[in-house]
Amino acid sequence: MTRLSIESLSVEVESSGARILDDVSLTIGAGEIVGLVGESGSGKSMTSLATMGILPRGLRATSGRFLVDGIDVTDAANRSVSSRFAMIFQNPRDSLNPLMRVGAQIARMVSLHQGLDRKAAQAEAVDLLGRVHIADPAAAARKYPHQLSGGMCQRVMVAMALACRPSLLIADEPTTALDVTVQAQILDLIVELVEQTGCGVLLVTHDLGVVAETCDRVNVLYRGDLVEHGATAEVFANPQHEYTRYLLESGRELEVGDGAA
Amino acid sequence: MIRYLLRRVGISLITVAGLALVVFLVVRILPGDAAAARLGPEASPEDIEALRAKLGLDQPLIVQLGDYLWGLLHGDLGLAVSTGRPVADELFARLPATIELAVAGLLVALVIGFPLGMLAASRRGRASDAIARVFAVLGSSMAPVWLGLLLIFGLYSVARIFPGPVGRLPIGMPPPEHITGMYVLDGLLTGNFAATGEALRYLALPALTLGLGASAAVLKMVRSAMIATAESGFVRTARAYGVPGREILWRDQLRNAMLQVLTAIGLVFGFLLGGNVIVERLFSWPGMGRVAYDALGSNDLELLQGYALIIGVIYIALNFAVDLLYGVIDPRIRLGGRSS
Repeated sequence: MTRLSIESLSVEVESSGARILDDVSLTIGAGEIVGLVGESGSGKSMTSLATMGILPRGLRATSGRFLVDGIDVTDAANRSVSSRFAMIFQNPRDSLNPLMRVGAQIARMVSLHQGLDRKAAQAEAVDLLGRVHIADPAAAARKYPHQLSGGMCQRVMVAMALACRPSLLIADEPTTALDVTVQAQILDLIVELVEQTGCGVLLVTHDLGVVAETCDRVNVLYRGDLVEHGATAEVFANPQHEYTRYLLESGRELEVGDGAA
Repeated sequence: MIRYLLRRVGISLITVAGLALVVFLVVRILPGDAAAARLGPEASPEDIEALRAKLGLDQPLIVQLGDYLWGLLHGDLGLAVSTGRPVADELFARLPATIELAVAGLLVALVIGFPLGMLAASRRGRASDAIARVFAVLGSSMAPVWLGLLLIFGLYSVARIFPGPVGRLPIGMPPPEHITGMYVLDGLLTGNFAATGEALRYLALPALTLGLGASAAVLKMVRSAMIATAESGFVRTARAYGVPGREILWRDQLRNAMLQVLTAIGLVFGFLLGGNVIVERLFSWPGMGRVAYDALGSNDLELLQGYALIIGVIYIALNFAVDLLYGVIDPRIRLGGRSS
């Protein structure tokens, strides 16, 4: 079953008309992790923000349809609530309100998306913190973001995503700002949750290693154009587009360089 | 939080000590002999010498400083030459009038500046933002004395809405029973609502004069803080998860923006307390600024020195209060620990 399909999404700068994304289409199945790779400025993050319906000021989508489980949600006023989209970001600590306890921040999403009252939402928040493997979730719920490590904050973000009972999770560079060991833990956590919930994941990253480890399929974005897509193993073994080859090669060079240093 | 508090108290005390030293030295460095200046050109050298001895001016500077600081610790700011009364009495008697005016000015500044700043931030780049910013430039570039004259002309001379610049109450009206010295408040506390009403009417024009200028600073600060938080990660998260815009505005943006705005409000209030010498003069407002203005005219250095010291101490106390509020609002300060 197709969780999400994006059909010919185009985004441009309102004032100048410059194209940011040109006719991008992709699909994500249930329980599938789909990678979206490309260099900085290729339009990866704009794809995810447009899908959530929160393009930054000054940008607008000129075309594009979004289908969730076959239903057109393009005009849905609040896509996160109506279509159960959730998103986690690159800098987990900046993504949390510094003045609110993390439990309260999760509970707020619980009551918004599941319609629970305050007390039940608080209990559910603690429960969710347990599900993302935070030790002593009741104590963690009472902490403020600055009292938690980056990896813990990202777990809190994942718990917040779970509060939406998501059909689609967009993870925008979810591990880039984290230590290598923590990166692997967060990726494992995402994989585990996909298996449990059957939601689809759009994993936006510039890290081909992350794609190789976790993604079933991969889309390559180059200057706003989707230049290649296919099963991860196939694309990596036999890249068709010149830019994909270039990406893969620069990745390998870096690995060799790392080994020598 | 305790450590943060102790640190703030310590810093404030050190600053007060530094302020006292600077005020003392500035007055001593000024050219001319204080004793000769007091006695006037007709005084004989013997008289001047006698007064120097009486005032301790013949002592070494360090001894004078010790006497001065010792006096300060006991609330003794010296004698005002022009009136012969203690400086502390002269100034503290006028302090409530100054505070009343400054608080009213701050309220005007907040009531105008806050909503306009929020509006400008939410409509960034559109016409209402442009209008708000033009207002901000006008407000901050117009001299208070000119603005005050315009207001007196428009709202008193022509429209007759507010009373003229004759002080805090109609001439001949007795002030309400003294509790705080602030007439609006004292009237309320003693049930003398007629006095409160009149006090408010007489307060309106000077408070508008002070507040309109200050509202520009508040507007600019609120606008930039709201724009900064609008672009922050946690607001993006709330938007992505479908939190209603109104809740984002009040619960996420405004509370975080307050961290920046509080500093500005503290500074504006300090400015309103110490910077209203001209407005007090213009409206015949019997506050500390008037005392300082008159002291300048009568060469009363003791009084000026006391004024500078009291205004400085109020400034420091305000900063301390702002720091305390930070601790209340911001868990990163209240709880300490890792910071991002």
